[in-house]
Amino acid sequence: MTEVARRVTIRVEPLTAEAYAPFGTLVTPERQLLWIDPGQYTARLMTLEPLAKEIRHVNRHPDHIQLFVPSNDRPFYLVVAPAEMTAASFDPARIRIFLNDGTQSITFGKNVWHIAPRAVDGELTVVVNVQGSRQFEFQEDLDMSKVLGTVIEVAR
Amino acid sequence: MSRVVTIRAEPLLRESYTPYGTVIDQSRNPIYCDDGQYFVERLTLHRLPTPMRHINRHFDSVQLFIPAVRTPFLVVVAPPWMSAANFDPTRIKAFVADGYQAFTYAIGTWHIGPRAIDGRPFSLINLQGERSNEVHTEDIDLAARHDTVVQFEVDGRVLNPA
Repeated sequence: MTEVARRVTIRVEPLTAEAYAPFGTLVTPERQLLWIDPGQYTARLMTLEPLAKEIRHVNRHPDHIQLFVPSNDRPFYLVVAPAEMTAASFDPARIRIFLNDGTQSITFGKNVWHIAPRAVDGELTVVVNVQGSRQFEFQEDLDMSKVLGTVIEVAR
Repeated sequence: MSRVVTIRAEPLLRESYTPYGTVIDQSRNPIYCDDGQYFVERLTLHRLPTPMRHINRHFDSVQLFIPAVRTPFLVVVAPPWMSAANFDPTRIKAFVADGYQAFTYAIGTWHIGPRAIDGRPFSLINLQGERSNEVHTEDIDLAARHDTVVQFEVDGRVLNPA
């Protein structure tokens, strides 16, 4: 395993539609289209893991827009990075971390880098995860610690 | 004067709801759209059920509702295997959702939009096929076609007396 040469600190910011626009959307009364191809959507209840001190991996899906809807109104973190970066050109300093107050339903846009939403420490946070039935055939994973010698530290 | 059918609501449970759709659990519950893509929107509903005169269904997509506030509300459905021609209003079922449960209408399940129980507004995230309402909908006018209106009873109280 490559030695971790670099630690990048990312500060948590509040979730607003404007700040989040490069990565996805907040669900509003206005209809917005989701997108999946190939496959079909699935929906499941998911209990979120807490946000670790360090983030080493990100992943993304070219086959669908993913949707998360809070089920018990507890806050959670969204860790995302722009879709236009390839794994080869990935810049960990461009990762953003948003704190959802537990009332916003959100999407991850197609190919937006992310990890699954993460709970705030001590909170039992449940969401409905609407995702592609064939996501594991198309998912792209990036181990930042291995490939880039970088880990992300979260400033809360 | 129309016949009045009274439907007594029962709690929404995954097992008893099976003929009509799915109460979402921790497994990957498939949903399906056959014409185009899904849209998502946040609906705010507050309508008490007036005596129910119409029921409709969609053929293109499984519809998914995820509550956005924790207010109980009424889910009204009828089995998909009934055609409009042989629709029997006494087979309508009503379920009280607790405000935490996400659920679907299976393709062809007859339904009306979720209704408030006490008039308090509630919000739902709605996923539906993009051409579901405009193209792939069948509607029955129960009053005109079956000379029937439907009222609902929750905890011994009729919500919408006909």
